[in-house]
Amino acid sequence: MKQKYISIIAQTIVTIIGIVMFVVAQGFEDFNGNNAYISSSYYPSIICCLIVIFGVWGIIEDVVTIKQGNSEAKFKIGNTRNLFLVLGAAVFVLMMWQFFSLFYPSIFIAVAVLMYFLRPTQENKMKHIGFCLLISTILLFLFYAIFDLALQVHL
Amino acid sequence: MGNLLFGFSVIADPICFLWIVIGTVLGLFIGALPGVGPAAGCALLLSVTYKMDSIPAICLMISLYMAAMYGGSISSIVLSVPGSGASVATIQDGAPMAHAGYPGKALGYSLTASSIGGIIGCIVLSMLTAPLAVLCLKLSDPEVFLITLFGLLSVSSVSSTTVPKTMLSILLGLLMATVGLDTFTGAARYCTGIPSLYDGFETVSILIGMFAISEVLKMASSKKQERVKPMREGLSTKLTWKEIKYILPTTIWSALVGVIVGIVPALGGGTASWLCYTTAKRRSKHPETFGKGEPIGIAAPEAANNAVVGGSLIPFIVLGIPGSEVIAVVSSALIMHGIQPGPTVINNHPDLVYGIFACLFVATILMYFFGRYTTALWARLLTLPDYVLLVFVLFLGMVGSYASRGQIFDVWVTIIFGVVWYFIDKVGFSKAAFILSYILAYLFESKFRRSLTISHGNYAIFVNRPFCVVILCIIVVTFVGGAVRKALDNKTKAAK
Repeated sequence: MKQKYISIIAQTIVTIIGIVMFVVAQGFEDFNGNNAYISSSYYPSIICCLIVIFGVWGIIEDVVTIKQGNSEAKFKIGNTRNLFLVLGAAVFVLMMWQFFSLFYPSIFIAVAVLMYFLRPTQENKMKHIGFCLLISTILLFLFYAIFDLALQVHL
Repeated sequence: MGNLLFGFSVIADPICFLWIVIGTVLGLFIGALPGVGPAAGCALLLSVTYKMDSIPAICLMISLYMAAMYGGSISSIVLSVPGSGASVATIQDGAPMAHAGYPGKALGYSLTASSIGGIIGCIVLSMLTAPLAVLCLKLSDPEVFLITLFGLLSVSSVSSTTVPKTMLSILLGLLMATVGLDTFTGAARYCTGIPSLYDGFETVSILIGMFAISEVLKMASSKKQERVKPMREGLSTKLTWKEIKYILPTTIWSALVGVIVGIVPALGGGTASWLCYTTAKRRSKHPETFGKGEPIGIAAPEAANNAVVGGSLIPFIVLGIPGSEVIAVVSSALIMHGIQPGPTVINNHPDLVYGIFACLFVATILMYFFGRYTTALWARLLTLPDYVLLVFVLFLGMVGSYASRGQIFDVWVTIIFGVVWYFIDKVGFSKAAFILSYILAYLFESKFRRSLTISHGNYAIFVNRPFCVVILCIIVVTFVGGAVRKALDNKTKAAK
């Protein structure tokens, strides 16, 4: 897909966010009167209006660029496999941490799995797995030393 | 001078000095690693500084920033891959000199110029801050609001993206900062019933998401490339007096230009180094030697990007406006410690301000000595594979985000924000604009609303004071000038 189309989609989303936030802002409840220039919705409303103005400006600019035929650049995400691996590992750790309070076991598994798939494949599989587990263990103890022991942040 | 000595007495505390040493070493390491810049380094450190006193915390970050600016040149020279955006210009002559068999000389020129640039930045910072702060104390709410507005708009005029996208980045930063309880009226804004949002988004989570997680995703999604093996021989950074004398004049003026560039919000080290590199080439009697290993081509950008550190601290201390992304992160660390940067900080926390000056001097000197004797070690560490770095930064970022408030909600914010920013960055939104506006949002809104309260809602308060008119004129010139420049650039590109 062309970069400019993605750009239009992104700016449309931002413009919609501006409109929604503007509507939400009208419902803020103040506790000290209705003085318009210090009400809590006054400033966010201005910001939202400006978002809509610049969003529309940006969309028009991109549409004009596409019509002029200056939009050859393609939108590239790159290595999606690695991207989803990293995100999957992060979400796995978060879920285990939030719902089962298993931070250290989950991080051990996530690091080992990530290392296994991200590291270029080695000829000797056992060595490869051993290396991943070693890095995983080192990171585990590093986090424990920095946060639990030194900073008293219990994970 | 007395104030500076007071600053030295503040950082003479062994704990504080130890953090400066740690910051310098970490800065060299983080700067040397391609992909992890000083902003990401400082953002990751935020969770550690949470438990520290304010002065050691700020000293740690400032020394990291200073050392990372030189550290970036190590990978530029040894690996031909820039460690950070500020060291891209160094590749032009650093890499050819290294390939010609003199990596040590190239690193020596870079280190010497960086150190001189850093010291000049410190001197200008120490000389200008106190008088400017006295002047700024006389400013009232409308003037401070307009100066903040100028800071925000100047980002849009120098940003490489289009005007609407930069403005949207600024406005999104301002809007995001409104989430939470309104300090004026007590109303809950955009909290959607989530208790964690009553205090607003945790700044640490936002910063880690933007600087660390989005960078991790960039690293993960980049196509696999063969890592270039760094050079291991001839890394001695020793220079003769004759060699130092050759680069000295260029180094000094580049440093002065770097300080000036640093004062303008969001311009940063990248702009300063390119500006000084191209100027040095234009002024040279032998411009044909540039790009082939010319020592001045290494010294000019390196002196400039280190001088930017001192320059970017001036508006931060004097007005509370961060001069760069890294200073925006430092600013959030200060706010975390209950200190609001601005003209009053020099009177309320002189130990902190003069401690920062002294810290910069000490960090620059330490950077020189560590750089002189440990550069070979950092060059070897460049063999650290991307996947190890990626995994470490990802989970350190997540834990760092949790450590600030002890809430898993913040970690979700970090991850979601990192993912969103990864995509939004590809479309051309400005990271610098967003982060500066997010950090400045409180100052911006409070001054705006206070001004309107004083004037009973009359907007004339922003135009009927002489100083306000001057600032408004500067804003119009900067904004219109930036827009015209961009329009001309676009026309030239279209014509080509």
